Amino acid sequence: MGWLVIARFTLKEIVRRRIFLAVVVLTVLLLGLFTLLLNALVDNLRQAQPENMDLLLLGIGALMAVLASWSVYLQSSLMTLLLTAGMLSAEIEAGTLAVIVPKPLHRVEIVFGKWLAYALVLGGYTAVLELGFLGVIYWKTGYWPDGMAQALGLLELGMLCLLALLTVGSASLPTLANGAIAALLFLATPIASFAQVVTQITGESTTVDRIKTLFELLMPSDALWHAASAALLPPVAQDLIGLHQVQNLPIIGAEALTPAMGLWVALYIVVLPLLGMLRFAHRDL
Amino acid sequence: MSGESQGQEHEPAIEVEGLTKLYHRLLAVDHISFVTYRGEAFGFLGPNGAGKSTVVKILTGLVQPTEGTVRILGRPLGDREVRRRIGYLPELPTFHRWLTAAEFLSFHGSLYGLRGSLLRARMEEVLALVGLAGRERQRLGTFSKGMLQRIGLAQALLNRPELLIIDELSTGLDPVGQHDLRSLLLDLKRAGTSIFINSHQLPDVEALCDRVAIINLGRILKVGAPEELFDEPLLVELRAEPLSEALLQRLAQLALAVERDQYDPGRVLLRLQREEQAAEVAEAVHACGARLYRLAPHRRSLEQVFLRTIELSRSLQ
Repeated sequence: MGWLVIARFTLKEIVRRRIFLAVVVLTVLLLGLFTLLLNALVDNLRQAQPENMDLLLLGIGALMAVLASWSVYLQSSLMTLLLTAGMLSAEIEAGTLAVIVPKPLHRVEIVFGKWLAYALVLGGYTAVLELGFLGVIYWKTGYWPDGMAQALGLLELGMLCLLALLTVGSASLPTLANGAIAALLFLATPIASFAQVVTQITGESTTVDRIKTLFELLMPSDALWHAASAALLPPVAQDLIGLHQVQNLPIIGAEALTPAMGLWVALYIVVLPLLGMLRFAHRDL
Repeated sequence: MSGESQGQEHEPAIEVEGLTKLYHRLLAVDHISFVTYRGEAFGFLGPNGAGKSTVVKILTGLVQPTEGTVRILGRPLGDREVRRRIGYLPELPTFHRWLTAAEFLSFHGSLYGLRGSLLRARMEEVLALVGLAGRERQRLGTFSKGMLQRIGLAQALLNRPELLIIDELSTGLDPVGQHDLRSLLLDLKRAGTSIFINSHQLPDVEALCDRVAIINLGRILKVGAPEELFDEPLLVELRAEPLSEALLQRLAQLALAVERDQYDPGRVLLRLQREEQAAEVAEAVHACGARLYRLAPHRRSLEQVFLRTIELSRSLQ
């Protein structure tokens, strides 16, 4: 059960690292600020005494749910990047693995234990943050998305995709190179997605579609985010925004995850960490 | 030493056959073979870049060999059960600085499968052994180099290892610390622990090792007991008064070479073929009417043997 010892140790390490504490404090502050902002917005509306106040509040709630969830997606991805870019490589570079690897455990257990601890912490972080934002929105507007569980699941899958990529990268590359590659892919996919939106308006382009698909295959987080966004918005809101005509806007999407993409995501999340384990098991330290 | 460990004395602890490591185009270890035995302290001596650390990293599973076979305590390299019976102290130990000494030992003890009261008892024991009792709550980030070396050794001893592999013992230790750790290792050796020590600190090797291998450029140049490495004519220091011409001529007949000390006119170094010739030297001194003040073997230190061997290997390149 060496993996369990490594997972427990990694959990302890994450909690002790100042970056985690800083992010938790900032997150609490952000949630507090968001609550104040939404409270002020709703108070303003109430003072204006518009017609259909309840409907207006639901509309604001739906829009806020998407925007807040997008910020959760970004924060969760940023945390994943910061915490796990050096999951193995930083320890290899520091030499701290030199006394762990000769112990009676398989190298695969080291990778699995670390992956598990990070997946638990980041999964918990993403869930707490998403439920926190949606809770505040429900409290102030009464809006609770029907597809909340689905959206949360998709956000978690997005985080797991990034974690999978960083795991294999960390077993093979220096920390800086691993972080840079993951960040590049993470940022390139929304750009490709944005280019696709433009071409949907100006005219179909198979080249842009293909490039976007290629980026989504390399880093499926953006496709997962768009599917999460679709789950958060009721169909009537999607019609109002005009999403059904363009499917995806840079932040908001109406495109559910296709079964093929779902299968790719499942493979991505499982196969990349396995490749990381294989690479780490056979590399020199 | 216990009866069991006496019985194990001639069982191999480490068996290395044709071990080779190629890093891209750099040949770090070149077809080396050696055997160390249970209860033996075996030293690996060599200059920087000789391939010593690569061999240790292969033995501990940190680096994969390109070629060759390694068996440790009778099992193939990487066997999990064997790892349970090995302790390893790396060169320049770098540990997680945020851990306290107790947390550090508890983590490494857990990796060995130690739990609960047994783990706590072993932690207390090893901390006392390495002279860090009372430092349980101190963070490793505040430890000096010497203390890190000690806590590193403590983690290597948690499992009561049958084989202790050490990559440079004295790095960062003051003379008192070096003496303490050498004494501790001698005690462990007496208790039957096999020790493999990789070093360029010759006093460590000289004080501890039953046998020594001298390695350079990835090849083993010599293996033997430290005394066996003096495989050259016996050097004898003679001090007599007066050192007359007649006596010097007589000594020149007896010895392979006579070397006068330019700073001490009463002292000469004689290179003899056999140890028994020392008696003939004494007789010659008396026969020439001189008084004999000193006649003693003048052995090369291990350092001199080491440097001479390395020089020789370089000149043959």
